[in-house]
Amino acid sequence: MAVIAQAVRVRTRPRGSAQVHAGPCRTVIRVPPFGRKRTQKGTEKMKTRTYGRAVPVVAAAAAAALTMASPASAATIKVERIYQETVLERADAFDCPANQVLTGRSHIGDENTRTTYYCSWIFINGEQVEVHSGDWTASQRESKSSYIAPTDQALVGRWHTGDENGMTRYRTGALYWQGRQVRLTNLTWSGEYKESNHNAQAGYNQVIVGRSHSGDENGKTRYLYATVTFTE
Amino acid sequence: MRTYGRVVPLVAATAAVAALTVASPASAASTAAVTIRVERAYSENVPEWGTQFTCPTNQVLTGRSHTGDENAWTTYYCSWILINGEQVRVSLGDWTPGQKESRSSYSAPADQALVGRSHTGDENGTTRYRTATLSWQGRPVRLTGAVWSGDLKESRHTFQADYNRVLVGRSHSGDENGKTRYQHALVTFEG
Repeated sequence: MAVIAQAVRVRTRPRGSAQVHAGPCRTVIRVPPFGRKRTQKGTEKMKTRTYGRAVPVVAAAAAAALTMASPASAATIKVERIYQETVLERADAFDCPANQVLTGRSHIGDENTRTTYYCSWIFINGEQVEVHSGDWTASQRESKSSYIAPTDQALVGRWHTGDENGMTRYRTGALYWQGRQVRLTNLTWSGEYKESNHNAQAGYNQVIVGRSHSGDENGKTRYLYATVTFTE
Repeated sequence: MRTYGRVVPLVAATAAVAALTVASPASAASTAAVTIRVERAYSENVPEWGTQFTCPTNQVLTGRSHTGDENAWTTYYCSWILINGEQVRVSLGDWTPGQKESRSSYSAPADQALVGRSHTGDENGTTRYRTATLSWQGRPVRLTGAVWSGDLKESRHTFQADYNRVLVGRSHSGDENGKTRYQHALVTFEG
C-alpha cells in the first residue's frame, strides 16, 4: 500500500503543476508543488484508489507507467517557426530576432547566392522562453568548419564572409523560462546535405545547436539538432 | 470586540500562509544552500597582438597564459558559473576605454566579472577590457573578497583563478618582461 501511495503521489505532481502553470497568475504558482496542496491531492487520489488493495502489484505497475509518461505532461513545449530572412551568404551576418533561435537554413548555389535562415520562438505552457545570447564566436574556416554550441545553448546567428576559404562565426543563446534554465537534450546530427542545394529544418520541438561543413559549395553540410526539454 | 477578534485569527492565518508562500522560493534558494560551481568550459589561443577576445555565451574569464612578447600567442580560459546546475546569465557590457598596456591597471565595477580583453600593438599599445553582470533566476550574483595575485612575469606565465573564483581585474607594468597581476573574486549568491 505504501508503495502505491507514493507512486500515485509522484504521478500527481507534474500534472498538478502543469495545470497550475497554465493559469494566469503565475507568481504564486511555483509554490504549490512544494506545499501541502500536492500532498492533499495525493492523499485524495490515494483514497479513491482503495481497490488497490486487491491488485497492489498491477496498480503499482500502472502508476509507474503513468510516472514514466509524466515528464511530457509536466510542461507543454512548443517550438514554432515564426521568422525567416534571406541574406547574401558571402557577406551578411544574420541574427534571429530577440528571443528566437535558429531552426532551419537553406541555400542554393555558391557563396554569391543567398541563404535563408529560419527562426523559431519557444513556448512552455503558453509562455515564451527567453533567449540570452552572447557575442560572436571565433572564426572557423568554412571549408573545414565544425561548430557545436556550449551545453544547453542554441544557435541564434551565423555570419559567413567570402567563399569556402572565408570565415564562419556563430552566435549562441541560453534559454530560460520563468528564470529557470531550459535544457537541450538528445543531440543528433542530420545526414549530409549538399551545401549548394539544400533546405534543412529541425524536427518537432528541435532547434539547431551545431553545424559542420567540408569543402566548397559542393561539399557536405550537416546540422546538429537538439530537443527542447524542461523538467521541474 | 469578540466577534472582531474571531475574524483576526483567520486573517492572521491567511496572512501567515501567504507570507510563507511568498517566502518559500527565496528561502529555498538562499538558505537551502545553493550549490555554486565555477567550471572551466573553454579556452582559446589567440595572437596577443591585435586580438579582441570575448568568452562564449554565459562564460567569464578565469585564466590567462602568455609566453613570449606581443608577437606571441595568448591563451584565455573561460568558465561558466553553475548554480544548482543552471548556467548563471552573463550579460555583456561594452568595452572599456583603452589603457596603455605598459602601465595599465583595471578593476571591474562591483559584482562584474571580466569576460573579454583586447590588446593592440606592443607594451605601448592599448588594452581594453569587457565586463559583464551576473544573474541567476532573476537575482544578482555577487563577487566578493577580491584579492590581487602576486607578480607574474608577462612573458612566461599562466594564471588560473582558484576554486569558485573569477577574474575581476588585471594590472601590468613595463614590457613583456614586466610584471602582471590578476585580481580575482569569489562567486557568491545571497538569494
